[in-house]
Amino acid sequence: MINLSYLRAFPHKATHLIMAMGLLSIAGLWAAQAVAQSSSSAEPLVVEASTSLEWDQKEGLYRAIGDAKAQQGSQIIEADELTASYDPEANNGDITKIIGKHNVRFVDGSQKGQGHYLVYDQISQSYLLDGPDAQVAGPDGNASALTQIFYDKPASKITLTDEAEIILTDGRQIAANLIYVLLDDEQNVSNIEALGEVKVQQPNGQTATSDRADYDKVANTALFTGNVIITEKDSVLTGDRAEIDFTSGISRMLSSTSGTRIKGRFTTR
Amino acid sequence: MADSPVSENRPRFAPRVTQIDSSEAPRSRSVRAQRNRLMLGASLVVIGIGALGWTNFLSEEKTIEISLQTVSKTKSAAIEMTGARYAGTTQTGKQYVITADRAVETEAGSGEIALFVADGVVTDTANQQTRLNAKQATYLSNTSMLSLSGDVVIYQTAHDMTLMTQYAEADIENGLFESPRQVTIQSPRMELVADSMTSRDQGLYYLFGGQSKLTLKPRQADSKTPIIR
Repeated sequence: MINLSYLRAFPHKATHLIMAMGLLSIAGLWAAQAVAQSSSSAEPLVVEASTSLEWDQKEGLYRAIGDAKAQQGSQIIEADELTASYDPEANNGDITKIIGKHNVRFVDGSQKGQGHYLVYDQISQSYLLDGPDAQVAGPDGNASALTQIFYDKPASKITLTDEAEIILTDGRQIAANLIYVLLDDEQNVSNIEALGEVKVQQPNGQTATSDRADYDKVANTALFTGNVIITEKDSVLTGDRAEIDFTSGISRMLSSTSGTRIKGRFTTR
Repeated sequence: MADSPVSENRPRFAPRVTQIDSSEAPRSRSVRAQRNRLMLGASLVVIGIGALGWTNFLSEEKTIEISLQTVSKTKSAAIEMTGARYAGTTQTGKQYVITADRAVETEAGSGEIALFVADGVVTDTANQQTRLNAKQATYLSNTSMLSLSGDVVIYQTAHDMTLMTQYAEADIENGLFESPRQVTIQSPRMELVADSMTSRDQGLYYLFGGQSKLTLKPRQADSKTPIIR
């Protein structure tokens, strides 16, 4: 006959039995929660790590440490540490945010970026790269910023904050406190808006400084406004508004609506 | 379930089909007691894995059914059963069936119970099942450690999800479950491979060690919405 008498005689055995309930959850919950991690993507999301992969279902996150990489199709985010989070209360389990720490790099189509810290928001489809020395690169050149770069993919807009600089593939350099870059459908630069302590330097040595500059890539022209100074060799033009046609190489200082006079100093040889 | 009808006069935990090996049949009370321990320990091993609450288990004596083919005592004083089958229903209505080719308590009173070719199935009230297979499952009652080895597979029908490894250990008292060996978790919508695994917080937290790769597959119903867009 088999009975439970020995358990009654040894209460600690019963304790063991009760503690075995822990295994119930261990064996059972992993599956219940895991299924919630499925995605709604057309392509699988692959998360890899060389050191460890953490899965916290209460917090709703995966944390990959060591050569961490998240890839979906041609979209890649890499870092020393990546955290992919989802809403643990939601049924779909879709990844809503990916955070990269240290040596962060991303590739999204023709855009690449790197920095110290990255937040990719799946809802807004935006990348926030923190410095120091955050950088992005595209078909038309490279951009960097001391503090932050924000890439709003749906709006095709890149915002460079603090000591922002763009080096275009033709050698032109644009620096300012704040720069907005608008991209076309093929992720090429279409417009650049530079604000605060703007400085544009041409490969031929011509420089233009102003409070603001608006560059139109299609027209290949730029409009400078506010405290404009154009310098080429020893010649200097100052005024409140100026337009540079990069195709023809002609710079025109325009009179401002406030009536500020145009000044020029030309040196001949 | 039992292989033969249950007599109303039969004790609740009497084996339904018990063929005692005549050559080494345990006749004494002490051997019978050892056999009892073995069956309970063996059940603990698999139920621990298979997700049953023991408080429920203890209170549901009426539903427990045990059958076995042989019971013998080896030269090393180990109690060994063959064809062990254990079935029951929890208070919450979950049904479980545990089988093992062999069940051995390595030394009488040692508290170490080993199931060989263990197989456990738990069926909940929604008719969903958790299935466990392992070549060997060993429970050390004095340390509350449970080890599973050899083609360990835990499968849940509800999520069509399978965990596979070659070795895993559970610290029952502390609610830990870990495997120092490669672990694979698969379902139609996810796949995870890692060099090792540790779980705590009742399975809510996992740490996969070494080279790890998680693949979250597309949700078919809405394939146009990517995880990373």
